[in-house]
Amino acid sequence: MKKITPLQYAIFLYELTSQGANITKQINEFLGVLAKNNDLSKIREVINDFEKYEKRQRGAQDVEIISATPLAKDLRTQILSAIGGKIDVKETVNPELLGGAIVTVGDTMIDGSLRRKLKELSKVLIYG
Amino acid sequence: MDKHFIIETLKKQLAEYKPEIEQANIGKVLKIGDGIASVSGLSEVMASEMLEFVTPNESVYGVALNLEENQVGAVILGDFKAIKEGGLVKSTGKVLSVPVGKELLGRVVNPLGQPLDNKGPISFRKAELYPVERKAPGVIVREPVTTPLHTGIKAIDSVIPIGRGQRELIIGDRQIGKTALVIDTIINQLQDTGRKAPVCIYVAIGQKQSKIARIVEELKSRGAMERTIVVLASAADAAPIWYIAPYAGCAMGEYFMDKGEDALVIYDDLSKHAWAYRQISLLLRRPPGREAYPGDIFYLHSRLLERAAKLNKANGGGSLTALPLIETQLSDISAYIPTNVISITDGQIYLDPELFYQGTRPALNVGLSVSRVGSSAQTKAMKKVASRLRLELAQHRELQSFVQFASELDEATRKRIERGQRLTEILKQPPYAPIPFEKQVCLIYAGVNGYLDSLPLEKISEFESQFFQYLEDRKGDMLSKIRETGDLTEEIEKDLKSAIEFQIHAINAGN
Repeated sequence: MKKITPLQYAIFLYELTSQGANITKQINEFLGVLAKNNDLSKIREVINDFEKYEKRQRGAQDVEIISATPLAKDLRTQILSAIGGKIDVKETVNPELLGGAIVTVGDTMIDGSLRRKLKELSKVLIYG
Repeated sequence: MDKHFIIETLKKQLAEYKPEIEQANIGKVLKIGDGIASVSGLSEVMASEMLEFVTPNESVYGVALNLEENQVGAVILGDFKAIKEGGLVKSTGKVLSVPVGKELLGRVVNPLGQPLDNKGPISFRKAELYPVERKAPGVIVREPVTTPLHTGIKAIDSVIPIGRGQRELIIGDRQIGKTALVIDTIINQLQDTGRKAPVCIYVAIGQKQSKIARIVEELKSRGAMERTIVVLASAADAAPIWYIAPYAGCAMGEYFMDKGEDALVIYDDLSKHAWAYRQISLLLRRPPGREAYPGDIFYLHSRLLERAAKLNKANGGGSLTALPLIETQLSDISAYIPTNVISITDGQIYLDPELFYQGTRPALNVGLSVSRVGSSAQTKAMKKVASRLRLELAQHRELQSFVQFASELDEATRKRIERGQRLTEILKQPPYAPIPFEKQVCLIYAGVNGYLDSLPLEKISEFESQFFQYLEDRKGDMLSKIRETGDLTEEIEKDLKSAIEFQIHAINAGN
């Protein structure tokens, strides 16, 4: 029999759970299927793929904002409205950035940190 | 320097700097090891795009080779130990490129164009980047090979001539003089003053650093380093560095070809390159084929060697000659990689261990070596003497098995064998002593016209050195005439005959 990929399991799990019936029971059954197919070792990948798939179905985007200082409220709403759509936000504060912020949307990273600008400035001064 | 000047310079540099917000496609390292990384994300990455692996200190660069559904397989060009699982990977939007330009001449660089020779950073007047993987010139821009590339080795320039824009394979066992042959060729470009000397690029793949140090020293002492670039992927470098080395060297040569100059690229050697590619492919889990090489091993070398070309006048008339080397195991030239490269190139020079141990050095096997396009690039003078030389050598080879019964053979056969022995003798030559082609013509002329038949075999080398000395001292104008016209006119021939007779006489009188 052809092997079932983690993504296929993830889609299967998504469809099971989205029916909204007894979730605990269905997850138990799902794990039973995994065990029967000797695929329990793939569980991590299945969970990863499930998260991604579920997000895609919802049309939501992962957004990560790393800033040097905690974000002001209006700035935060400004950033989020610029991205638009459904958003799962994760915010962290990293003083090492010195200033500015790094915003990651899905696979795209927008780096507006002071640290990077200073690094580039040092390159210009050394190699000019 | 006064402080205002410093402040002004700083101001000027600062004026050039415009802080911009950087946007990049990113991914995360899933797996890392053996110089190979699996990266998630990177949804917009191109094949063979450069990737920046962000590490606490300095970024390490890599190349995306495998684009799969959920991940990207990349090779790492640098220290992969600094990269951690979960680390950030940025795509750069550029395919792998190397800096090219005249500033590289005389330098030893790694395949990324960074200097390895302690002479400080290379400051490019106008930084130009050439992609490492570049499409070979098409049919329209090419023309047939017409200009010779003199190697300074008698046996090659006469019997297996190489033209500019040709690809000639040099194949043989280890420790048999393959590298010496190509180093001679580089040195000889200074002596070959009849035409513009090509830029030489020596690409060392998986070589010992001690050997490269020796070669660079030799080239420096001969003054040949000024027109040479050494691209070094040493035995201590990782397989991905070996893998890109010949492509990087080729790109550096293409720059000169595009500028209308001649360039010569030497790949030393492609068997190690094939090993490196095999290692990368297996680690990237590409399916293994014959001898565990991946399926595209032929394409690996064919696309590299196809980039050698002679461009036509409308496109600048530049050329790129390629001299790939292949190391055989136990002189098996019918193994997988040797047969591949033989079929790609325009001929091969086979170095025979048997001849080597007999003392024929360079150990060229004239019977198994061919040059498919070079003869049209030979000078007229060389053509005149070489065609007879080739014939005599072929006849000698046929009769060689009778050599031990020499006393029982008829007169004509014995003479032929003796002539062959003398011709074989004059084709011998020590390493790092290339001979300008005009002198070669004179010597071979003496050989094929039977002037040396009266000399005993052991006197031939003595004759050669004295004859060359005599030509230099007394017949300088005759040599320069051959060099400039590339022809043996009747007048020159007469002059040459008298010179040979004089020298033979001198040698015989010395006995």
